[in-house]
Amino acid sequence: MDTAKKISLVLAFSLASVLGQARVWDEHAKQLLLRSLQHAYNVNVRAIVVQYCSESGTFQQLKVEQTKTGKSRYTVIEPLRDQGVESVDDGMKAVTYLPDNKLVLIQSSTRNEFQDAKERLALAERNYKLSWENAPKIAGRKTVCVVATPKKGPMEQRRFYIDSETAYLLRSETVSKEGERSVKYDTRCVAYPDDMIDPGMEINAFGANTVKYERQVTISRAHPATSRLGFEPIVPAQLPYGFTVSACQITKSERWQAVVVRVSDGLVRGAVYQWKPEAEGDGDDDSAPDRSSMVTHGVRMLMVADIPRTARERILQAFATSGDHSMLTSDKTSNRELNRCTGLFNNCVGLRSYSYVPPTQTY
Amino acid sequence: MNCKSVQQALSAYLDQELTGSEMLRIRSHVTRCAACTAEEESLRSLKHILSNAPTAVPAVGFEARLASCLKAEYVQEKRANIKLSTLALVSMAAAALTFLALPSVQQKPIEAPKAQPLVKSDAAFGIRADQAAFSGSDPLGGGRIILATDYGHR
Repeated sequence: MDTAKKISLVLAFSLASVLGQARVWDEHAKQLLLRSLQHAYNVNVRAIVVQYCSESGTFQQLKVEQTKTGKSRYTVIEPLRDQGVESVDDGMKAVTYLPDNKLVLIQSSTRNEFQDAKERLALAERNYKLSWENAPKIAGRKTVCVVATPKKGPMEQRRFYIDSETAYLLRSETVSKEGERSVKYDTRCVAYPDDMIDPGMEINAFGANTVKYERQVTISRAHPATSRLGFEPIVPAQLPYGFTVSACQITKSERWQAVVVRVSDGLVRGAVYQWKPEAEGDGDDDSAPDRSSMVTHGVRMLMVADIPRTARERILQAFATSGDHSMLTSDKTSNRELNRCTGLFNNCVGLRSYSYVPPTQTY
Repeated sequence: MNCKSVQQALSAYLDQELTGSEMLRIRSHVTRCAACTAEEESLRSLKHILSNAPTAVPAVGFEARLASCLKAEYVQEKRANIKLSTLALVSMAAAALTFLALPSVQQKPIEAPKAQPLVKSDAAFGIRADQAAFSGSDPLGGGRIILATDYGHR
């Protein structure tokens, strides 16, 4: 082997070790992750991204336009059957247009609803061993890879490739216990233009039906809305794998009355829906990914979260077995304890409803 | 036959383009009329001068320059004609389309296709809508950026 080859090999090994070396969790990496959780980019973003669902083996390519003031527009580019699906959000109102279904969903924006980045980070530090690595460039941008290794359970390692300058998330991966790596989210190209035309809130949705969701009142444990559900909602005081209840909401609708318990382990966010099913399989949605369900005491519970199926089922089981100790129904749970658990994210228990409004053309 | 009609036919008389009887009538008048005789002599003299005039010879290259000028003028004229005809065709087509489309628009409004049901049940619909709102733009939390009818297969 000649000298040149030896030098190149040494350089290659050095580069690989520098890139792949796990670094101790420090303030710089912490701030970067915090900024990413807060969406505190302070730049305009224009990007083409792809999101994958490893469970169903599907993907979706999107065009992202996001101003530094927080307005955003997402447009589906691929696959062909989803082309034209659009979602706009100005921080107050979120509108999603599904052209094939001739449907426009208007909802209050949830962007400001979960201003919980610091609490999420604290919870993540409790449930994951965090470290960071220098990583190769993605879409021409220098990145830092934040590695979150779960301390217990079947949860996957999560790897976040964050733009080292803007804190914009460029790639997200999971690594299973068996070492299988799956890309969940990837950026094909990205630009941070100084000037950007306001993406606007207009969606040309000719002839579409509109479904309008409205946030209503804050409820407490004794709120009369819970009595209209026809069952006692279950809000466990403890969940496996470090998951915590971050909010509990009631979906009040003439068509569907349910409770939504939002849970998080700091990084992953999920929801557990509870309702009285009208028939067997009510709520089944074959094309929707990342969900598990079970029926207990006549109540159907369905969890949606990007975690392994076994973990979802275990969490659902925890809901089912904690029925007698639900924070909403148990006399043993004090209001203080309830507030401590559900107030971890400083969220209140909300009431959400939806109603159909006549077709309109433009919003 | 009077002097006016004789002088109008005098050129044809000198070129022997008239019938025999017309020739005899004009000859008879000219021999008896001094004014018409003078006119005949003047015209005959002019015809003789013109027939004996030398043929004009063009300057060198005149023919090529003339051909070039004619060609340029022809091309320019052709282009103008094409533009005019295209404009005319487009105008005619637009007028025809407007004429054809107008009655149908007035008679029958455009109907949007009816919406297909999004999912199987109200529960499934509610879950999807809720996911659309709460997944938002949080890929870091594992949520989907956007709600879609389906994901495409890889």
